[in-house]
Amino acid sequence: MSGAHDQLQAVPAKRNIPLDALEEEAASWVLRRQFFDWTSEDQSKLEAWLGESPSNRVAYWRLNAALSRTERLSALRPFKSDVEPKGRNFRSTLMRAVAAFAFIAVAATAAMFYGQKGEEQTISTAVGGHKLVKLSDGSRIEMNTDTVIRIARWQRSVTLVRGEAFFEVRHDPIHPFTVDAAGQRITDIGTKFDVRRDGAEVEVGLLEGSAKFESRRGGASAREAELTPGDLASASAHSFSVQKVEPQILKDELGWRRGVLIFHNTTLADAASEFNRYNRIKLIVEGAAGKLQIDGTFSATDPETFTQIASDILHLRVEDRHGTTVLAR
Amino acid sequence: MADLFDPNFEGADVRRFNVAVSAAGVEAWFVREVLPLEAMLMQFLSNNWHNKADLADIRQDVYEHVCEAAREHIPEQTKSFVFRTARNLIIDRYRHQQVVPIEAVPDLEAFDIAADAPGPERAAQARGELRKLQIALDELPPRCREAIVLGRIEGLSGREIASRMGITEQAVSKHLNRGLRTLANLIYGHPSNRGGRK
Repeated sequence: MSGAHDQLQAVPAKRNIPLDALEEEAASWVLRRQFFDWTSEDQSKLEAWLGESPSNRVAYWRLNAALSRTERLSALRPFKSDVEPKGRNFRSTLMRAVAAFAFIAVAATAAMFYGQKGEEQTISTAVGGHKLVKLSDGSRIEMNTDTVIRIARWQRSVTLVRGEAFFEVRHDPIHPFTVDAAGQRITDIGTKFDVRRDGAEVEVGLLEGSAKFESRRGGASAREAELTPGDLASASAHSFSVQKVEPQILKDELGWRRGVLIFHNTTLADAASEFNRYNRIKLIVEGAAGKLQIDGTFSATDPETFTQIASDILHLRVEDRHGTTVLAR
Repeated sequence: MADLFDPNFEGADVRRFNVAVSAAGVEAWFVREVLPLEAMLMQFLSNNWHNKADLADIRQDVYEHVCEAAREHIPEQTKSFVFRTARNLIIDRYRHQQVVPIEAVPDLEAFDIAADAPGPERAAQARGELRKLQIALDELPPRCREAIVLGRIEGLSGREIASRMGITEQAVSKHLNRGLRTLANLIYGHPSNRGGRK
């Protein structure tokens, strides 16, 4: 053994540049090749650089492998939206939105100005759909899968008929923005919030600003609460509750805005029903397998990958039963 | 445990041999078998070397040595080979230091390197992988994360990332560069579960 390590001295691995600098250089090769223009000349320069020393090779291999590992992330690419992809490129987005919603904008602006009342407009998304609706007052509504909203054009009032939507409301103290869902009303006080309706159940998550959440069913069940950031409120015909949650939980719940579902210790049964909101091919988990828990981030419209990973790591069988995917022990 | 040491491995001075394994072959082996040992290797190094600032440097030394050796012959027992090399390099460093601490000899037995077993349950690994990636991403500085997410999740090019983030391509390169190096350390170097130091 000492013989072996005597020989190690034969090659003192002395790099002529510090490791930091070496890794930075290696990373820049990896990144240029992946993200920037790459010519055959670049390729031969890279090969020459790799040939120079084992240090260069090893550093490059390691960082290149790390980048490949993030390949899994690219499986999470957001799905296409029906109207507008969510984006920060406001100008171009606006131009296209203007084309799609010109009539709303014109009509709504005129109406707001003259204080007229007008009819409602209904907008919907299909299963797996995703739409960004811009209102003429600067507010935005991002609609999730299988969602229907009705906009009372001239009242700053929206009804969530079904599904889920994320609201970014431009505050206007004189004309409060209201969202109605199954007898519950959210009145904005300058805010970003998410509303999800499932039958008579309504869930509101408040990210920024504040809003009033009230039950408008009247009678004994009438309740209201002032929501502040981090509040997750839910109400149904007979219940009403508000709880404070970790900001991360709310953010995770909004994963759909970038096309993903985020699970933390989520049971397989719950995860499957989440996927089923987004996809026509339904996922069923049979028996005790439904209680197994799973973590991770998955593309909402790619249940196949989810099924494959879940069955691999939890050792489940996957069956295709007349177009329905069944997971079982 | 009789002959853990690959008899073909004579130090790391393999440059005098004819190279028998293609660079791509060495890279594939390195990525598939060596990199996954990094968390364990880093723990081994930190248990046996006093100066934390040197750990990444020693890690790089280990990788260079094993990869050079692998050009001649891909070792059959990667794990033992990697840790044996690490141990020898540490001893070598101590020798050059002249000041040899009492506990200088790395305790190989503390790490169960006897077998190149598949390692911990595969299920746990696969499950951990996604979470690890997600956690790693969360730990990046915000601008680095944004650049990586735009590039990887949304599949944008460097130029598109620049226009999305409203910064120059050069600045994007910087964020991506820092992001990638940090990610590599988080993905490979961090022990998936804490503690366990002997």
